[in-house]
Amino acid sequence: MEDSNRKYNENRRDFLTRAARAGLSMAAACSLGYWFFDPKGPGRSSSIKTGVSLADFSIPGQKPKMSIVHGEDRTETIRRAMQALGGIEGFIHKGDRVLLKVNAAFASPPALSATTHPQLVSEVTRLCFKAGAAKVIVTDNPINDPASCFQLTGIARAARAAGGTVVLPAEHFFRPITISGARLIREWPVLFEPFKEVNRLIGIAPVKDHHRSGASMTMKNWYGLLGGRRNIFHQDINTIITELAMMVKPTLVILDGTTSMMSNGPTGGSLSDLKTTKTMIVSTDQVAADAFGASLLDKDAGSLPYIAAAEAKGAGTADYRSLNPVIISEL
Amino acid sequence: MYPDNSKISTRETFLSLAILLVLTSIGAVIFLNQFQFNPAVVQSLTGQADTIGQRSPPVNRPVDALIHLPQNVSPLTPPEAFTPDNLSDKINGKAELYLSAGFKRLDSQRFKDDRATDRWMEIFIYDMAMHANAFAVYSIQQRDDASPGDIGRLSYTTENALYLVHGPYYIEFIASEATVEAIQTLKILAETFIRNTPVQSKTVAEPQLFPESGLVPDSVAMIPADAFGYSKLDRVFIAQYNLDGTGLTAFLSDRKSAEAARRVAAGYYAFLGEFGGKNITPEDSMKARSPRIVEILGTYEIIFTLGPYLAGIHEASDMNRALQLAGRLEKRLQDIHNGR
Repeated sequence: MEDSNRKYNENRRDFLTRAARAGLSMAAACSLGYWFFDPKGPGRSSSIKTGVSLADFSIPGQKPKMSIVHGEDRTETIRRAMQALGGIEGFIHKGDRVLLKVNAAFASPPALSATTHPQLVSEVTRLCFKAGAAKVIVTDNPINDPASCFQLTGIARAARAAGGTVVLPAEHFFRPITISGARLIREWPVLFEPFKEVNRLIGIAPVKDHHRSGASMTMKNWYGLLGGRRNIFHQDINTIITELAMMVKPTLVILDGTTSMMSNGPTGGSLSDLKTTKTMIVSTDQVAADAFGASLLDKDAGSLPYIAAAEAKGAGTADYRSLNPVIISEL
Repeated sequence: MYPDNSKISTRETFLSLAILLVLTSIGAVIFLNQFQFNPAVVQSLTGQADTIGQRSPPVNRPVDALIHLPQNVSPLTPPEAFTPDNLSDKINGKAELYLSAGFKRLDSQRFKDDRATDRWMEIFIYDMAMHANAFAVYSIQQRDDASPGDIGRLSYTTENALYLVHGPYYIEFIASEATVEAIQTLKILAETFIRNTPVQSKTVAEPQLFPESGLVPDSVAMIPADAFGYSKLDRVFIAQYNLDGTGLTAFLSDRKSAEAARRVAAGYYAFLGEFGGKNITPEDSMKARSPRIVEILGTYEIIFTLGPYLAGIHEASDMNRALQLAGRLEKRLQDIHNGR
């Protein structure tokens, strides 16, 4: 009986010892695994710094404004459109440093209206300096051959002639940016460096048909700020345009509908893709500007899903009439 | 207290060692592999450098020509080449149009006309792999106010550009100005290119399948994919008609077998139903091989099959005219089918 008890106790002790050892082994393995676990994943290349966001370039406390001027002479229509909003001095003050985000996506001549017209770049640069701007930077990220794009569109020459500084994209100008509530712009490289030294932002875009999104106007123009293999976003074009509108809070947007690309956009290529629509739009509200711009393409704003989506995200209003736009008929 | 090791057999010892060896090997493989990221991860981390790093040599540097050049024309910038992976770097949002049509490669280059300082032009040579694919992107982008290009059967000019199909190539010649001299230079470039680029002679059969009466000239186009919003409807030819002032769009697609044609037709019919389409085919016609008529969003869609052909009328505003044209199209296909 005693032997039997001793044998039982030895077996019990042996079992407990073995169980404790097994438990410790498992705990050690789990701890080792946890120690190796990297919740952030592999780090980015050292040339890309993280943790930045674009500033809010809108004028604090200012109500949304919009002007629509009809005419063929861009120099005159942009001047009148600014005057209708109380003058560019209401947006650009003495000593301001201004960034003009143009559309220089293609190395095509100005006559094809696939890019921001140099005449408009020149006049807006001049107006900014007249209002007291200390510096005007003109930039875009065309990805393919930026030097040719800026040169052959005439944008570089126009900007420099008016005293502006042309900034071509370089690899170290990009920073990964995450937009709160965004699905696509998460840790995505964005052209950031030129924004560091400015306190005002004006987007200048032509009115164009677009094969994927239906239209390319002021909100789509911010697409040129994206780096990386941004072409993957074409599969979800309405979302990316919406998120771009969430990311960028401009001082002003200028939508050039003097000539609109009605078909075969966004590249066009033939003058027969264009229609003279004689309209210049200036607004503090990019959604409102695009909602009106859709009509120049014979489209309804409701047929462009990103307009309603951007409005829902608080980027502006699709009801441009609610801004009581100042409308000046043909000059 | 401790187990008696003498009771552990040699077999158990070797088995334990083998298990430990396997576990250690697995651990070693995992440890080594964790340094080798999935290419997708590498791409997402380094894509920035890849794309931003693409820079052409400075303009004005002496460069080779992509194509044989006529006199007075010289390269302005170096040749560029694009594949399906980076086509959008060159043409942005329009890339999808070409990719869905079987795009293989784009070669492009800018040239200058030495006789005029501001006159320059760019050539885009899209290798679409097949003549039918080249026809698709050519026809879908055809400009309304075009003039015949007089360079082969598939060519046209606009004020500043020349477009043509040559074998599997769709080619755009775009000038910086709208002048007669610029167009003449483009034509010389095009003729030189064609002369120096032999291709197999091919034609697209479908445009000849549409009945001629009422057909709007040069209106036949091919939709390579997602025709009318239906993802399974690809390689569809459309043709514009004017029947006594009523505009109509006829369509047809060779599905290679009667069974395939019926299957896609049934799918398209169901697709229309999902979006509120209402079947208004007369009761007595439902059993026969008559066209299905669907009313959707105030327009009429007519769908029928004949042998390997799926055909019909798309978004007609006048049902009677649409049925009239559908009848003509069916008869034409019947004649061709019988003669096959």
